[in-house]
Amino acid sequence: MQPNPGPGKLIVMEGLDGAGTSTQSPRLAQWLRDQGVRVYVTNEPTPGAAGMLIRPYLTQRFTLDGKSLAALFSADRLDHLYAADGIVARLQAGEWVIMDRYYLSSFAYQALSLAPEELRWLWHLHEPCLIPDATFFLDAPVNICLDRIAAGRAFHFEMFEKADVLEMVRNQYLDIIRRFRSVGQNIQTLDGTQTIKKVQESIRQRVELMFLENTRLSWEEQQQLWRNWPNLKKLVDRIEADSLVDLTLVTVKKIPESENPRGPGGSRGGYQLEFGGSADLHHIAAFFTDHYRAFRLRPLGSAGATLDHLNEICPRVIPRRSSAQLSFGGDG
Amino acid sequence: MAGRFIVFEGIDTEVLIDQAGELSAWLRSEGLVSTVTREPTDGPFGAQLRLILSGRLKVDAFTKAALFMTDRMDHLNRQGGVHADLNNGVYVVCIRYLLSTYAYQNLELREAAERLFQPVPKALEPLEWLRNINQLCPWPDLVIFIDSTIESCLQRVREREGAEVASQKTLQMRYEQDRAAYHTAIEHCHAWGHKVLIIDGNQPTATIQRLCRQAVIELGVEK
Repeated sequence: MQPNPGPGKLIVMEGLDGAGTSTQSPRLAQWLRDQGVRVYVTNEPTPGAAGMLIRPYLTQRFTLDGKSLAALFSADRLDHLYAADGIVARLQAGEWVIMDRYYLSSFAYQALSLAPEELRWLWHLHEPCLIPDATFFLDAPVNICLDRIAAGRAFHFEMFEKADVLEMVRNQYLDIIRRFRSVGQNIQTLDGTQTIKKVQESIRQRVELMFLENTRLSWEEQQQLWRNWPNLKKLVDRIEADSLVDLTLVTVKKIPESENPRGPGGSRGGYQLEFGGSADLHHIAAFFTDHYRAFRLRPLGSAGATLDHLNEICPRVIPRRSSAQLSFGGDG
Repeated sequence: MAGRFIVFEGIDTEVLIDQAGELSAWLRSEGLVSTVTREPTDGPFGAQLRLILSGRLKVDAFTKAALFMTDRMDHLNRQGGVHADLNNGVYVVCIRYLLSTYAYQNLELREAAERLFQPVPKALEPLEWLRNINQLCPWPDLVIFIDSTIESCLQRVREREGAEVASQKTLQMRYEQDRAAYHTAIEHCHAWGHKVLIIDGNQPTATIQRLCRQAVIELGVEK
């Protein structure tokens, strides 16, 4: 897969049918426009040369085998990207693109009808695709998704909208997200059971941190940081691998000396790692302090709670699903 | 009883249609079940591809390659498709298949990839990518490339469209480019271990027919 060639950002919403992706996309777009960003909102399948044939299949008006369907979705995706007025052209022109569904959907939905060795083929199909700058996976239990689908549509359920199938799709999503994260893709899981407003707030907060604040480290700087702090990288990898928590690295920011005159261990300045996900922060904090002492934890929206205080305040002020900042000083 | 998958490839479609029809008729006269099919197919994706090939529907080279592959997957896997026929012992004679993809889409993809990516990533080297995305499509039992001469192709166009073909030179250049692309693709296929039988198209039709039948007999005809 290829890096985004443009100055514009590519943001993707993923989730089961009924998880709320198509509700959140236009709201994020409107907010970004209010910030002065040019935004194009789009979704898959498209009404393009290949995509126009997907809808009749989904509503069971003609049959197609699983592999041909996966191929068709990829053709539609490439058309979406590379058509004359497609996503690539827009990103290159500086426009931001918000997509409702992208290749994670293929790896979650179409992969159900593929043998494990055929996943490699699916990967090859997606080689020309752009890697999103951020993907938000709105995670909601199947029963909630089905209730929402039923409330929104009176006449029919589409091919994949059955409880057992959706359960398999959700598991497939979680598995593929883990794999894509392991190769450095920025995929963030959000609690899709929350209210529309709360989910939207969470998305905006993360978008602001990642793209609208100029303190964010570049990709190269972030890689340099991991090289300089190998133990920290190992810890993050281990947390992910052990599935202790669903933890997502949102961003790495520099902390100016003025904000951290006496950092942990007496250092000045430093870096701040911001995490999100469905993590129990008490758990994360315990894990980090067991292994790495130069951290302090500060819940988002609350200033300056240190690890010393954490054991007392964490259960009260931080809900189970939340976000937090973990800061550490400059001397490792 | 398994059938056989036999593919005709070349720059002159009319020659391919004639030879495929003749070979299939001969197989039937030998008491076998045979069918003639072609790519793009008569399915929903083939219809889109015909619009694209005629220039009425514009798509980029990546999408076009993926649509050709989609049409091929449907051709192979649909009810009554190539796989089903082969399983039922049918001799499937197909006009154009993977070699056409490697010949025609290689150049288009290279142009597109070089315009978009500098340098072109290894995974998007056109022939490698085309091979990878078509990896679920089996190589046929027999691929016959009828190597028609440029002059015979032009002669056929003159007969069809009258003595005055306005863009004779352009047409000649296109045929030369296509023929060279086929030969490049065949070299790659041989390197990948895929056999392609090349038959000189500048021979009498009856000779070409005899050579095609002989190649099928060498496959081991099962009645």
